[in-house]
Amino acid sequence: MAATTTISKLPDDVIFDILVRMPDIKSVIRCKRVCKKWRKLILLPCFAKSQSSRGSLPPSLIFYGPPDGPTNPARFGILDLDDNLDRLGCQNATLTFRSEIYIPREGYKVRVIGACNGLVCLDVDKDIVVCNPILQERPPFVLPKLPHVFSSSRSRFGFGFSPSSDEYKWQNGGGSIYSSSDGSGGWRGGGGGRVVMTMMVVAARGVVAVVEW
Amino acid sequence: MASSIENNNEKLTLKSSDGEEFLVEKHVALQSTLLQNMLDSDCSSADVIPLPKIDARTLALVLGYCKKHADASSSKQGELNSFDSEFLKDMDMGALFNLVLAANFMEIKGLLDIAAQKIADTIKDKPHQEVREIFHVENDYTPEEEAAVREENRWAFEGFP
Repeated sequence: MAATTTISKLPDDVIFDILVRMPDIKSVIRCKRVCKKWRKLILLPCFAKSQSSRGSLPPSLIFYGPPDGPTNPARFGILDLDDNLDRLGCQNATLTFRSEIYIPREGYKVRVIGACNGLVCLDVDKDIVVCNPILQERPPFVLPKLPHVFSSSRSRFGFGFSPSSDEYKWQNGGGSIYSSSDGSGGWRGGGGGRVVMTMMVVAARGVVAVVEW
Repeated sequence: MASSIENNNEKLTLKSSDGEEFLVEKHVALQSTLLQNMLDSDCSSADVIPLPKIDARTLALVLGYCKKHADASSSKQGELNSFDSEFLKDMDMGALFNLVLAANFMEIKGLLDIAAQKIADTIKDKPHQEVREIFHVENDYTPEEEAAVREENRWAFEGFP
């Protein structure tokens, strides 16, 4: 069958088009093992966004457990709904949490600031950390410290993505907005205005990539 | 349809990589953004448009898809959907690859969508070694690197070698 057809090598953009249509997260992650180029394509920030915007995958829920004494640090559990969807409706259902978000410096209080495109922004003991809970391949990215960030109320932090400018934005308590586009270094800031945000228990759709700011 | 009457006499000739010529009605060719742009910018004054990357077998399939979609009215979406799934049914990987390449080159979004989706659905449950063979991809990981990728994503490889 296939012998009658010459199988051509597919260019990267076509491989991307195929991988982004994989119907479940596990299949995408297994494809990272095929070769280095495939892994690189899957880890591109635009891969996560593209898959997220397709909305064809069941969401993953992220649960937070606050720290409880020195032996029980703050924890995040990830629940993949494609495996657990049927069980969610049952009483006394046992759900399998897949893995936990890597948190530097265990034992400190951790707060979710926001999430978008599958990235989660955390406040870990005065560091703002952006991590990728679904792929969880690399340590999270710790944002560079900003001047006067912690002088005002922490309850007003926010994290979001602006499709119009194609930038991730992070808002401090004073209402200033700092922004960063994929792959660029550092944050620009901080004008007025507000960013639309997704808050707390996060529906992180699809496979997300670490954004290398 | 008014448009097809109006364009009835407008046809263009496409030539495949292996030299076969296809006479195509203009409204069918317009399914391809590449051809549409060529027609808009009047690059089509040549009698024959060569498509050096697409063989005759693939081009015939592509034009079959374009004709069906160009002729169907919007009220026949259900019919088009069943045409699409029937169109790719039983197609081998080699033919699918050629089709997805042609759709990418000729910029036919609908065809690219269904062909890429079909390939994704076919490889989703296959082990990575088999995927490498299908795509003719060489494993460029060292054994240590490959083990690290597997270990970092252990949960996804449960039940896989």
